[in-house]
Amino acid sequence: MRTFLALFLGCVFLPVCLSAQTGGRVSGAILSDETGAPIVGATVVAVQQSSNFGKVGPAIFRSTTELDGSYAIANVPSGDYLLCLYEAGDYLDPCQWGPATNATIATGTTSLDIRVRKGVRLAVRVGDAENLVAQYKKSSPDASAIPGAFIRITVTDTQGKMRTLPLTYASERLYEYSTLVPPDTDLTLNVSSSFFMLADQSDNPIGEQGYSAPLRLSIPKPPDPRIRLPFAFLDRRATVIPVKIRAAASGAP
Amino acid sequence: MSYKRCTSAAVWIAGLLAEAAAAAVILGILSTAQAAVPYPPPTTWKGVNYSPRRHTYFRMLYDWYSWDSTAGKYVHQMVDADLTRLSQNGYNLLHLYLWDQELLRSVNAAEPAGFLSAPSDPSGSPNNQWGALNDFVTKAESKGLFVALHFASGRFIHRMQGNPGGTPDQVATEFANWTEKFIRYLNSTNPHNNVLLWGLAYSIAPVPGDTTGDWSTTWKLAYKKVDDYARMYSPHPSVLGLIGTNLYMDQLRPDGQPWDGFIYPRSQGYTWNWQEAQRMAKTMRDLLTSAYGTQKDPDIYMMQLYHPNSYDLLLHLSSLSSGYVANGIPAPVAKIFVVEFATSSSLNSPPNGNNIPYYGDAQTPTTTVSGHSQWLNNTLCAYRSAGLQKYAYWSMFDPYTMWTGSPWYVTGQDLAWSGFWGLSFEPEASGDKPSWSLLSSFYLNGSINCPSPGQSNAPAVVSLTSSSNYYTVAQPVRLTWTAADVASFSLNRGHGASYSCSPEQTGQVSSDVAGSCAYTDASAFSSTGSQTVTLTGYNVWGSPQNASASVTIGLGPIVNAATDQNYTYTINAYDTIIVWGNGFSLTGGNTIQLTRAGYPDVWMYNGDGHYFWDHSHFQINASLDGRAATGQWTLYVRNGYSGTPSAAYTIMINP
Repeated sequence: MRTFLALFLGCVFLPVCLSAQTGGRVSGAILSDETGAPIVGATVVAVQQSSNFGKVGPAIFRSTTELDGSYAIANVPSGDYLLCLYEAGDYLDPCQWGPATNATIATGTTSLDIRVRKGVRLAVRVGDAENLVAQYKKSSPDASAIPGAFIRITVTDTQGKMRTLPLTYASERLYEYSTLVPPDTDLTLNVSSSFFMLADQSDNPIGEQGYSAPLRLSIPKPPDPRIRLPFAFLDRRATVIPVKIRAAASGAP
Repeated sequence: MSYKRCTSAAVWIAGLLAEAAAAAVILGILSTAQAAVPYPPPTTWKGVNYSPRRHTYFRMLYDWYSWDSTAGKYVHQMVDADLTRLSQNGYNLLHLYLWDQELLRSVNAAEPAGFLSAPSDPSGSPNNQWGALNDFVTKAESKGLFVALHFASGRFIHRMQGNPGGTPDQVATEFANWTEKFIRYLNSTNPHNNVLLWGLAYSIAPVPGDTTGDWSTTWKLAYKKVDDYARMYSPHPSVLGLIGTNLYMDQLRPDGQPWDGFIYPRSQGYTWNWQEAQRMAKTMRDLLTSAYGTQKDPDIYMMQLYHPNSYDLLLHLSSLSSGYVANGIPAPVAKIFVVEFATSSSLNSPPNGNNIPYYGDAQTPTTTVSGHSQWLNNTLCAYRSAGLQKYAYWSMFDPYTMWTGSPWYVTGQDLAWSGFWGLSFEPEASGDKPSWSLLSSFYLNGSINCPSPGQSNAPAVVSLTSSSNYYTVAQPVRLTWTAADVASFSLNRGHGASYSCSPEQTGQVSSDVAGSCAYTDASAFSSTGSQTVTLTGYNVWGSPQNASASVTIGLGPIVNAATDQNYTYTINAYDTIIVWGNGFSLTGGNTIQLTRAGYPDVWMYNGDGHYFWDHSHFQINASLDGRAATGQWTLYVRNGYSGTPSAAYTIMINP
C-alpha cells in the first residue's frame, strides 16, 4: 500500500524528478464550494506553468485526496503551477471551468484549499437504428481507427470558448457524448455531421448546418423518498438529448 | 340433442357432422381443462415477470398485434409459444405490471406505450392494449398459468404527492375506479379464473407509524376500495383476486442511515431495515383494521429483493418473518411474494452484454453469465432457507433493444444494470442463459444445489475487468470488480484504496479492496508484455473464488488517429484536435507535443489555458487555438507516467 501511494505522491516525470529533491510541498483540501464537504478519492494534478518547456514538457505531479479531502504533493520544484482535478464525481475541473487555482511553490509548504463547483452532466445520445456508422466504417479504411459516430457535438460558453463533447459510450447503433457543464450557465449546444443526415427525437430533420440551441442546465432536485419511482435512475445521471442518424449525407467525404 | 328421428339422409349426415363437431368441442374443452389453472391455486408461486423478446416491459401489450420480422410471427404468437414453454417448465405464475401513460411519460415523454391514466377509461388505450391484456390473460389461462397484475399508476403517485391535489378519498376513489375497469373486464366481462392477485400500486406504501396522515389514509382507502371491487368480481373471493401491496425492506448503509444508492463496504454484513418493514406491516394492519372493522392484514406483501449477499439477505428475511420490534409485526413468509429479484449479466460483448461492470438496487452487482446463474442459485437457496414460496424472477428476456432504442437510448452503466437480467438472451440465436435451466429445474422438481453447511458457504460471485487492455510501464492499472456473496477480498498485486464504480459517488469505499462494485488502481508494471491480475473473493465461510483480468503493457501510449472535431483528418489551425489511441491516463497528466523543424515545440495539456479534455484511456481533446502554424507537424502523446512518448504521428494543419 505504501509503495503504491509513493507512486502517486512522488514524481511522475523523470527529468523533473531528478532535480526535485529540494523542492517544495503543496497541500490542502478539495472541498465542495456549496457544502464544504470533502471530495474524497479525487486526483489533484499539479501542472507546471512555463513559457518554454523545450523538449521536456510541463512537470506533472498527482495526489489522491484522502477521506477528509486532503491532498499533499511533495518534492515539487519551485515554480508556478496550476492545480487541476480529476475523478471528482460530478464536480467540475477548475482548470476547465474556473476559477483557476494557481500555486506558486517555493521551498517549504504551500497550503492551498480548493473549493470546487458541482456540475451537471450533459449527454447527447445518438441512435443509429440502421447501423449506418458501421456501414460507413466498412467502406472507408481511413475511418476504422476513429471510434464514435462522426458527429460534431460542442458546447460554447458566452465567452465563445468551445468544447467538443468526448465520446463516452459506443456500441452498435448507440453512441453517447457527454461532459460535465456548470449549472445555471448559458451555453449553446451545437450538433452537426458531415457524414450523416440527423434528426431530433421527434424525427424532425436537422439541416446540414446542424442543430444549435441555447442550453442552461440546473442540478436536479432530489427524489421524493416516499416513492420508488421505477427507472428513476435513468434521469438521475444526466440531461439527455437524443439525436437520430437518418441517412448517409449525400456529400459525405 | 337426438338425431334418431331424422328421416332424410341429408339430415342424417348433417347430424353426424354436428355430432362430430360437438365431440370436437368437447375434446377441446377437455384439452383446455387439462391445461386449465388448478383450483385452489398452489401455495408455491413459481413465477416470472414475462414479456417476449424485443417487446419487453411496457411494450408487450402495445406491440401485441404487430409483426416481429425477426421472429417471423406476430407478437401475440411469440407470447403464445413462450407461455407454452413456461408452462412446460414448471412455471405457474406471470407477474405483469400494468403501466399507465402518466408514469412512463414522467420518465420519458416520448414513450408511446401505457394505459390511459385515470380518470380516462383505460379501455381506450392506444394500439388496443386493452384487448391485448385480455388476450394475454386468456393465453396464460389456457396454459395453466396464473397472473398477478400489478397496477403501476403515475397518476396515483402524482396525486399522492399533491399534483393535482385532492382529499384522500378523492385520490383513492379515482384510482380505485380506474382499477375497477380492469378488474371487471378480466373477471366479469371476460370471466377468467387465473387472476390470482391484483397488485395495489407500484411504489406506494403507508408511512410506518402514521395512521392518520393523508398519505397513509389514501393508501388505506385505496386498498379497501380496490379489494371491494376484487371481491365483487372475483370468481372465488379471498382465493382468487387477492390484493397485494408493496412492503419495503430497504437496505441500510453501514452507518445505519437509509441506503442512498451508492456502494459501501459490507462491513459486518449488509443490512436491511427489517424493523421498519415490520413497523410498516403493523401500520398496514392498523389502517386496514380501522377500514374493515375487524383485524385485517394485507392478503399479500409484495417485495423486491435485490441483494449483494444471499447470506445477509437470509438473515434479514428471517428477522422480518420471525423477529420482534416495538410497534411492528412479523411478515409471515406465506404472505410474502417476491415480485422482483434479479441481477444483470452485463459482462458480455454486445448484444448479449455491454462489458460494463455496474450495480443496481440494494448494491446488487452485475456479473457474467455464469455468475448470473450462481447469483440466482444462491438467492433461491436463501429463499428456501427462509421458507419463501412465492416469487417471480425479473425477467424472462434481456430488454436490451428496448432500452437502447428510441426513445430511451440507455447507455453505459445504466444499460449494464437494466439491459441484461433476463433468463434468456434477447437474440433467439443466443438462446438461454444457464439461469433458465437452473430456474426451470427448480420450478419443475425443486432441484437445486444449496451450499453446505449453510448459506454462509454460498459460492462467491466475482468478476474482474480492466478499464483498458493496454497500459504503459509505470502506469497504474485500473481494475473494476463486481462481487456478490463476498465477505472479503485479496488482489495478487499491490493496489490503492477502493472506490465505488458509480461515477457520481465521491468517496472511498475502503482503504482495502471492498464493495460489490468498485475499482482500485493496481500498482504499475515495470516490464512490458502480457500481464494478469487475479482477484479472489471469499464468502462468509471463507471459501475462495477467483476472477482474472489480463492487460498488455507497453512503453508509451499508442496514437491511432488524430482528427478535427468533425471527425475528419483535415485539421485547421483553430480546430479542436481529437487524438484517438490507448494508454492515455484517466487521471490527467497527459500531454500532447507538436514538433516541427524550425518551430518551437507546442505543448498542449490541461491547465494550458485552452480547452483540453483527457479523462479517458482512449481520447484526448485539445483546442489548437492557432498555436501551431500551418504545415506538417509530428505529434506525440505522453501520459505522465512512463516518460516514453507515443510513436511519431504526422498531422497536417491547414490555415
